[in-house]
Amino acid sequence: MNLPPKSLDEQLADLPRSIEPPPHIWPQIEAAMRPVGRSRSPWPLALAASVVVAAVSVMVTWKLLRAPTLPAAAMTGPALTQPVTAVSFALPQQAAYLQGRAQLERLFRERLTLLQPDTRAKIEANLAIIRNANDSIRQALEADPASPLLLQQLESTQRQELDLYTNVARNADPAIGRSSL
Amino acid sequence: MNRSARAGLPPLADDAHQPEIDTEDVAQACRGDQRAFERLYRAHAGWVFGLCLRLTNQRETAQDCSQEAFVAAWRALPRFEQRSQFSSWLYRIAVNTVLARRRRAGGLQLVSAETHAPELERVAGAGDAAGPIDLERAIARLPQRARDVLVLVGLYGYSHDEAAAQLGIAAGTSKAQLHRARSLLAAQLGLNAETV
Repeated sequence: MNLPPKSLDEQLADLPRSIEPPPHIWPQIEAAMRPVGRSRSPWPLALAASVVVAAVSVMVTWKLLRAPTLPAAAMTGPALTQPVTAVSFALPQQAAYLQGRAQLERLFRERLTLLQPDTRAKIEANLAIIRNANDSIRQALEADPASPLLLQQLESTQRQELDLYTNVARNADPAIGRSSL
Repeated sequence: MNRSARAGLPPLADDAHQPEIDTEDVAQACRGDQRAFERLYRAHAGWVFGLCLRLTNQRETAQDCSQEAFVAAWRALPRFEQRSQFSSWLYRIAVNTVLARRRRAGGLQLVSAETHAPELERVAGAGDAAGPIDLERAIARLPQRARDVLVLVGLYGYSHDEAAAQLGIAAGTSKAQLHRARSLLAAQLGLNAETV
């Protein structure tokens, strides 16, 4: 007895979704993962060096910090002795990067309290703008993780955030006067 | 990927064979564990390669796209926030990789119906060659846009909204292209209206 022909949907459903790739693909992927992705040396070395200061700053923050803004209490209080360490930028794919960023943010928060309230508010607003942009780009990357444009934008906002931290931490350092400015 | 929104199509026969999501491997890979990522590769490589092969119609290109997709996924993993399933995220990367390569190549590629037929014939198995391989060849002969939609929606379980978003077309266009693909397949396979 002949079976009735399968419908198109049945035939489509019978197709295997999975097709075994050739075995040489994984070694090539593994090789591509090593140099770019997770080598452990760059961040610890960058942090240990602790000498690179970001050349580009967030201009609004820079201008804000040029005005004399520290309250008197800050000028007479104990100086923060922790040196400002500029953190070079890299995509946040390593624990060392995240740790370095967290340290810089802590210093930024400490030094931020030394600024006048209105200056502090403007810097916080700038930081919020940068972080909102960063969040939006991350959401877009969820849908299109391989987009070079989005990755470039993500890098840009993260660099801006680090630059802002660095500028505030450097320029509001009571150990060297009101600030470096 | 929302299987329930599969454009009214029946369940996939090998849904049960869809790679299991190993959340622990994903978490470890997010932290930079290459061995965990290799396990994820082993679990998902077949689906990614199958998807790339059917979208590109070219074995070498599909290999390159699979490789690119996994490397891109590895690099993007630290930003993967696990709001979506790892498999859906990975397959989106694979489709984006194919589409990006297509754009770089300068637009629509000519379809060679026989390009990957030997590979698919091997996969389908000699004993069933009269069934699946005919359908694979017919799919390979479809116009590119119709084939894209059929592969994503009809084979890999995308909803029309998901396929449209990936392909940069309207959901209505996706539906129209699926209808077109099905009509062309039916004609190629000699199916009558009752069996479509």
